Amino acid sequence: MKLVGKVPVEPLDDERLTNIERSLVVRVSEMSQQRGLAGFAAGRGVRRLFAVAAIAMAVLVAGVVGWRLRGNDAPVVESREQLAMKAGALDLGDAQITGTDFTVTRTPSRVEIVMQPGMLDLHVDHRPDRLFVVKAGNVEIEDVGTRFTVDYDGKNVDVRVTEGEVKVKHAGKDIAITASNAWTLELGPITIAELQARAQQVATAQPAIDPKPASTPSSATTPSETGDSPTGEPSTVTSDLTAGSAVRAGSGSASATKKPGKTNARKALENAPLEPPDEVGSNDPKTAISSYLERIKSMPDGEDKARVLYSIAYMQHRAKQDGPALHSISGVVKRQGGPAYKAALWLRVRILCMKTFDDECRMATQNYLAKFSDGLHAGIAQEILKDISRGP
Amino acid sequence: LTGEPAATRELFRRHRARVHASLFRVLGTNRDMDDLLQEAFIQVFQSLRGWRAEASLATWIDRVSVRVAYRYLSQRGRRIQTDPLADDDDVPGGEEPGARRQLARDGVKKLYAVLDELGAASRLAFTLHEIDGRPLSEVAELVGSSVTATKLRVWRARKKVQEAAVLDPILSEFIEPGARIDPPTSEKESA
Repeated sequence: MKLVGKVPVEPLDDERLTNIERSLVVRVSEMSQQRGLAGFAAGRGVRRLFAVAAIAMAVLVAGVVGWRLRGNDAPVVESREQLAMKAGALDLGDAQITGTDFTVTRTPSRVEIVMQPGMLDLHVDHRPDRLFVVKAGNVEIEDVGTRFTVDYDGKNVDVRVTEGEVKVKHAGKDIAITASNAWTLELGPITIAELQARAQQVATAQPAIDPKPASTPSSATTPSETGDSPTGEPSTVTSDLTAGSAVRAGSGSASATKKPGKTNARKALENAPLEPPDEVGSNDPKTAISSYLERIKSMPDGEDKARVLYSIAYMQHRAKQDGPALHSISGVVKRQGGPAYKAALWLRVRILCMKTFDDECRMATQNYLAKFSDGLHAGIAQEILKDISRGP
Repeated sequence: LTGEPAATRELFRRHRARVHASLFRVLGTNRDMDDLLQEAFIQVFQSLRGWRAEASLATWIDRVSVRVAYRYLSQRGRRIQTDPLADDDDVPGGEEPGARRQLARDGVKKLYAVLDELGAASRLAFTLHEIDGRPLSEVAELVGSSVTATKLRVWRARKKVQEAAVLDPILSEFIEPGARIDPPTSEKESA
């Protein structure tokens, strides 16, 4: 039988390889972070032994020193560990945290999470001997054994409790928030249902062209809130891009912080419409994602499934979970066709180019242009590439 | 080991082509290749601490990839939906005349249809040895089995393919060009 060399290997295109590589980098990075924590947990037993011995020694030494110095207080020293987490999931044994970037500082009696702007989903066991605190700006959320989310955009804070109870500390006041209730910096205590109803109202009341309202963090990328529509792309790319950029460039102080020569493309990217997700009856990313996941379970491969995957990616991006969003996008682009394909490719450009115009951004943009060279998004993609080629 | 993105990229880029080629020859399709390649490299990174440089890194990565392929074949209940190969332009060896190329494509499809009926272990052994061109001893090492057991698996799979080729002239021409395997007739049997 002579078969060697007779089965030609069908190559994977650059786009698929890029996707695989990107997802791999994200997952390996998450893995190494978790491994760091797992090692931390695995070593707990040994550490406990050392801790007991150390405490015994400390008590002995303190006793001796205290007896000698009589009246001088011995300082209490707690072992302290700190870990900076990138977007992903972290299991501390008695607490599971999923979401965007944060820092954990842990002592035996206290776990403190300091959030970067983003969203966290926390499931925490109640332990009377340990205080669990989330800090989002100047708001502190103290857990009392529960499940809750914190959405923080650098200014506003939105806490939603799904199980148990948390204590929100802000401006010298302590407010207890129980299950099905929420607290926001803007509105104070409120029920989740009421908050969702308000979000819905805001969504429908937004003017047709409102690029980026600053008041609510998650609304910034919601097409329904910005009035975008799937078919709303203007036919003349250049004129729209130039006009939009010109109007916005002088409209706020934000332009002063942009690098010279990159303002127009970046602003156009921020303001370009995204294809809206499938209607699911909720604007809340978490609720929407759960519904999509439920829906996708029974779906065969096909365009419908690709649409739902895109919708998940969209909501993950809204929830600032860009790592998982990129993974969902790779599920859509694997299919290499259909309306969801185009939308997913653009969402990827948006995710990768929003922070910096780097190599990953360039590759995503080139991929998009290779497939779709017409329309508003293609115009913006060309602007991005021009900016990149101009250099910093 | 520390999840450094540049190092992850570098390792992936160095080995992806070889791993992809092997996986493709085992499966005959790129259908789930994204997930498989990703899974293979995730496994590589997960167990990188366990690599003791007794084997070359490439061999070790191949071993991990073969394990991933085996698990995939077992979970999919043997049947892989083989894609029809890409359009003519995408097939390497584009200088061949159209009819011959078409025949080769049909041959590949038929071969993998037969392989779909094999167990995961036999399929792996056969494809790694007969299609990927690895020596039996290497295949045995990759699948974590003895050379004798591997040889037996390859032999069984070969027999199955040859049996199918007897009934299928396209497959017959594909596996043994110019030496068409005729179906056994009652006369031949009696002779």
